[in-house]
Amino acid sequence: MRPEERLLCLMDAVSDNMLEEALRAGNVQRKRRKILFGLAAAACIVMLFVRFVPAGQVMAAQLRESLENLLEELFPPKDISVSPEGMEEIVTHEIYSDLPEQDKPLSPEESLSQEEPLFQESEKQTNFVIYFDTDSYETAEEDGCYIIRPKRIVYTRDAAMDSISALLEGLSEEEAEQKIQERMEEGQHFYDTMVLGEIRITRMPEMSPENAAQEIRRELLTHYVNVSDVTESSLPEGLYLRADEGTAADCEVKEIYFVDDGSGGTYIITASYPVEQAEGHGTRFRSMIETFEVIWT
Amino acid sequence: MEDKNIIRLFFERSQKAISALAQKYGKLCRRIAMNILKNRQDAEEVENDTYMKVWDNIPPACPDILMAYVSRIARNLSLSRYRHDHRKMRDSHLQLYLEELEECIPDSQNVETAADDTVSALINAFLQQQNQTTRAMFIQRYFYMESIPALSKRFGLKESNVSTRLNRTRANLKKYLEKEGIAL
Repeated sequence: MRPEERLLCLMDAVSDNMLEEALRAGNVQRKRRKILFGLAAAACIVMLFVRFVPAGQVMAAQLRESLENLLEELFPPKDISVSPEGMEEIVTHEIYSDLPEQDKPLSPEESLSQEEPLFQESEKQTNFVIYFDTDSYETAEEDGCYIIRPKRIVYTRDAAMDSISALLEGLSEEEAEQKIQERMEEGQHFYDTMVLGEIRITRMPEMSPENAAQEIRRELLTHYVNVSDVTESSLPEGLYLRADEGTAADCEVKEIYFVDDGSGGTYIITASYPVEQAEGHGTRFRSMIETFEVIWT
Repeated sequence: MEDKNIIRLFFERSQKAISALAQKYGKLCRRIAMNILKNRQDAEEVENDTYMKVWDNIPPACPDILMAYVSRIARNLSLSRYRHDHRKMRDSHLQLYLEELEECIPDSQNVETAADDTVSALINAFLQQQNQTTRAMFIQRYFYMESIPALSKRFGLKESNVSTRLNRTRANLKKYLEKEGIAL
């Protein structure tokens, strides 16, 4: 074996730590820490008590602050390893939840006029938390559905000018401006109509994961070419179902997870994306869904 | 899934171990194999062979860093396959990598050829002395067999800058090995 061939083979002995470091290098993304949701789970319980007591409202503000800190402690932003297109990245994820928005404190008059008791037994509620990549995704709530979707891509003027730079030569300023605007509109339209996929989280109260999975499977069979059997999922713990319209690049894939909400219902987490995005957004969606947790408040 | 959980599945001899491994590191295996073999079908076969090898080895093996463990197996299998298919590596597209590595070979005469362990230890020691980017780039190039354009994109540098940096590192490795008085 020639020396250089030997050297190539001996690169195999590079230490594990350095191999890992090399894979992570270059793609590391860090983002500023940001608090995403307001009231802590425990604050919901406390607020039920303090909202009816004027003095309690002052206390509520202090408690809220403490509990917000507590939630940050419980669910701090964390770096998660994701491997879209086979290239590992370390991406900071932050929490997203269906915990209720912070209750507005009532005025003393309002609170005194309330007929509810000063003390109220709180019922156990279930909520979810999921980590999501705040760099590339945004969240929305529509009709009781919690959505994580890719951020809108803005087609910039610079990109438009770069793409038609040859065309702009020899044009008057006015003509060039018109061409740039047309290109920007085309580019933006392209991005806006590009299907990238999303995660939707909904809840089916009073239905077990098994029943929910079977019901949705029956529904999918009427629309999709391939629908898998219901299988077990370990992360998140529950059931799993996959459906797709075929193998062409633009065929839709649905990956659905069914998680027991702990109170007789089911959380349904649906990742949808086109086949061509399976190794991109599909992989990122899976990393986020693995962090899904049900919490009791 | 966390690496420790994947390893636990291997220890439990659960079939889920392979799918968990494939889900997390399948693309990495394919990428390494593709970089070396330049053939999708061969790369997929190497990927599957890698899973089988991991299945055979764990347990008793219990790697600290699963990613590195899998990468090493995928690379070895790819290189073996390449040697099998191309009797001489020099007849291959790996020629470019070999020509580059030739620049690292010390001009040592009348010196006994060093053992593999010795050379490996020296390579590790040399890389440890480099800054993180230089080290990562060198390993990406000669372990993961990445192309210059891929490295350029990954590190956000011009291709010429990547080449220059690799060139400098190779020259330094040569000097280092010469200083240590070894021959390859």
